[in-house]
Amino acid sequence: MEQIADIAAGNLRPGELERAQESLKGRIMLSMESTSNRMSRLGKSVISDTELMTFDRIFAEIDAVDTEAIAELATVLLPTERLSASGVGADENRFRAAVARANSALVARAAA
Amino acid sequence: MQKYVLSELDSGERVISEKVASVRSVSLGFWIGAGSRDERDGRAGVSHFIEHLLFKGSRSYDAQQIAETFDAMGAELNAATSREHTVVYSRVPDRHVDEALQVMTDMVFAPRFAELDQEREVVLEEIAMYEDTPQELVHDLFSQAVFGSHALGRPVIGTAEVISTISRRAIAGYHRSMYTGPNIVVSAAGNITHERLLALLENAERRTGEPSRPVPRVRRPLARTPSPGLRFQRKDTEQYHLCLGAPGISRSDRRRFAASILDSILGGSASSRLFQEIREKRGMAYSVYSFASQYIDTGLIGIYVGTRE
Repeated sequence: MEQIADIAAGNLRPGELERAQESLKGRIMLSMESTSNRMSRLGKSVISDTELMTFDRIFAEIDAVDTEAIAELATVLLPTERLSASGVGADENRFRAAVARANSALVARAAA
Repeated sequence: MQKYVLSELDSGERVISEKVASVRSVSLGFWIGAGSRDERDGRAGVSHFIEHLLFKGSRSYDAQQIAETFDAMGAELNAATSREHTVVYSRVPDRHVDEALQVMTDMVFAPRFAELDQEREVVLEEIAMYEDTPQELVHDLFSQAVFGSHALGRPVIGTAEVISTISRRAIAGYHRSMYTGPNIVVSAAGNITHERLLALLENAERRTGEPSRPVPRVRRPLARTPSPGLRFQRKDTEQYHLCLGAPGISRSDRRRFAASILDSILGGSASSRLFQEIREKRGMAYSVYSFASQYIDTGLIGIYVGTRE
């Protein structure tokens, strides 16, 4: 949770954003060396009616992401009160205690 | 650059392909817009069950012939079901494309739904296997926690009650209503031209029969996100398996690139925050990562950790 809050506060470390951008572009390039992945990309986008972007555009979109966009997204998507939780394990009380550290309202509501 | 050609057949099926001249194979996929979110509660798991049954025989080929045909080509044939679609796919040497397309067309459009009771047992075993795999089970519980009673909250594999009782009639009815021309996409990448692909497909469909007439279908959108939920299943496991997260963004959301980068920074790799902090510095877990899935109208974003503490 500390890490999410840190990102939401806009505290990216030097090189962190660039590394993630290069990593994403690299993974796309590597995956596109497989015809199975190329076939999947085509099929999946048509069946789900999503736009098939050129790789140039995808890479440009990735390069355009900045620290503010990441921070805003972390703030909008992962604020404490929005968090759901699931668990598998031996003791439900220990699970609830752990979740309560992230979202105490969720556990309180479930207990009510 | 991916240079593809997209066209539509009279039956409403869309065909998209890309020629990759540097290989001697073709990857083929039949994509059907039928996934677990398209099922009613009383049919939970039927999309995935049908995916299994497609391999059990079709109008012109029995199960063994299907398996032998692809083995004899040195080809792979497999399938998968998700919340929003089913796909049957293969990768075959280019000189066998014609035969592969004929068999796949017959499997997808004209399944016999043979050996039903035997395959029920196989899927029931698969459900039991998930139950015994806490690191998988916790993700299904997480979808339930986030999406509540909406069909997106249900596991793709469905429930043992439905799989053990669903009738052949109900299965065939679902197949008829979902495996329609406009709800099917054929995609290919490899050493084949679009024209040849179209010709082979049309030929294969002449033999099998075109897909059934389209029936209007409704996919229930996630109108309102339910309030955050909590789900726990007690199991005598050594570790606790935990997911924490929230609804994410949809497949077409412009912020999806930022979301991928957020996922990557947070827990998508060995240099990510969670991996470095929880595993490398604190030694608290072997497996820790973040995940992000996208659906047509929503998504999921979260983190997983397995730990004894």
